Amino acid sequence: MFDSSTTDHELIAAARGGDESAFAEIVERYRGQITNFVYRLLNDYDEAVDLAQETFVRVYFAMDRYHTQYAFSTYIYRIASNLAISEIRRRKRRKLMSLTGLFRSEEESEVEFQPPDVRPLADEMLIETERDLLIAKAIEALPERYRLPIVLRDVEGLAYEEVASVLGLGLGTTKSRISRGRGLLRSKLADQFEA
Amino acid sequence: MLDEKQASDEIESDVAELLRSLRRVDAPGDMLFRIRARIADRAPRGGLGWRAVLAYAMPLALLAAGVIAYLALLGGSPETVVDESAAVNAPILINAEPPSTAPDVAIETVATNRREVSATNSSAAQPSRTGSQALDVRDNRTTSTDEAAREGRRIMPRGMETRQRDGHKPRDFQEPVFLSPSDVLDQIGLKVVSVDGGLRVESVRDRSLAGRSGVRQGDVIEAIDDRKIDKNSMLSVPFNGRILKVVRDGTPVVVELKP
Repeated sequence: MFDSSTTDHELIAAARGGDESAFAEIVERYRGQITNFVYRLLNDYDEAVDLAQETFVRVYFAMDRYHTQYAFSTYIYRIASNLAISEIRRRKRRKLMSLTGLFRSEEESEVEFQPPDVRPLADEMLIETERDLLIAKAIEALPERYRLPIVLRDVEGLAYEEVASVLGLGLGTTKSRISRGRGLLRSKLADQFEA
Repeated sequence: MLDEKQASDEIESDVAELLRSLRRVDAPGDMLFRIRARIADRAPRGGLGWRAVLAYAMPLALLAAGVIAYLALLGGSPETVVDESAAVNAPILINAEPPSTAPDVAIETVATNRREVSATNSSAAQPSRTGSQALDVRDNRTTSTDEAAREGRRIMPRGMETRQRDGHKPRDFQEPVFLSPSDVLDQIGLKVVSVDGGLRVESVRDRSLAGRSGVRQGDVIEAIDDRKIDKNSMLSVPFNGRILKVVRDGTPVVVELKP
């Protein structure tokens, strides 16, 4: 019903009008990008799939409030970014509480903090090389302020202007953070470059 | 300088290249189905959702709370209303016979008034008290529980025991009741209305205390027993004032009430 020439805004307009297939087309177009984006931020496939689904659900319920003056890709990446940031911070809090031992009841005291699931999944698509795992761990170790722009720019391939728009930052700040993030990654992955 | 920048650019380019080479993960094939399930789960169902509850129930609850507060204010705390008027206007204190079936709250109120009035009368330098001062007087009250905890029972010689402790009145102590001037003066035969400077006598009942004493229609009562009165004054019941200062046809006249 819809082909690749149909723009995102046209799909949104059709979905607003109750066309379920238009919304399905939106999901089809962006599900891979959003899942991969969140996965590279969290390094946890299950959580990435969960947050990607949540992203589309929020798009669905906020469709009436969406302004077509912005690119839809920017809009959906921003929603996914916010969800991922919330998850990153939630994990950080859990880790902190686990380290301090605060707020743990007796029943919970035996339960250790569960680190992100890094086990390769059964799906052959997710069997990563050792090098990919190292890179993923290095990205995961980056501070949040560098991790997001780096993933958006270098993993997802967004333009600097789009990255700035998704993160709500100035262009100069965005470029500076990406540069700084690359420097940090370079130092973490020094072995990879020497090899 | 140029070399440094070039080296930096190369490093960044290497890192970017490395990141681009990462294997991409894909979403599960049934993602659309899962998303639709979530949407169906969260879609508003029939009946009132929490938004509707907030939209309708909250204003109603606030309205109800406002009405209750207004009614409570209108009914008024007897202590507050009577206290302030009594303190500010320095009412006349006369031994009185309050209704024996008055509720506990009313008795507390009147007891408070009595303390304030006593304090007012005993100090010429402080003819009146403010509402907050009146509250202070109330706050100094002690409860029987506190007293019981502090004071032991005084043992008196046989035959001299008394059930009434010093400074404390028995529970059935009769307290005065305060009413508005028009109500009280009506008992001595006068119908009055408030005017500037006092209360004007509209009519005098024949063979009443006021009538017998010579109060006339048109007199403006300015003071009773040297205390000025107006519509806000509170007079104790039964009335036992002795001297009325009135203005009759522009001339001050003193009327002594003859029992």
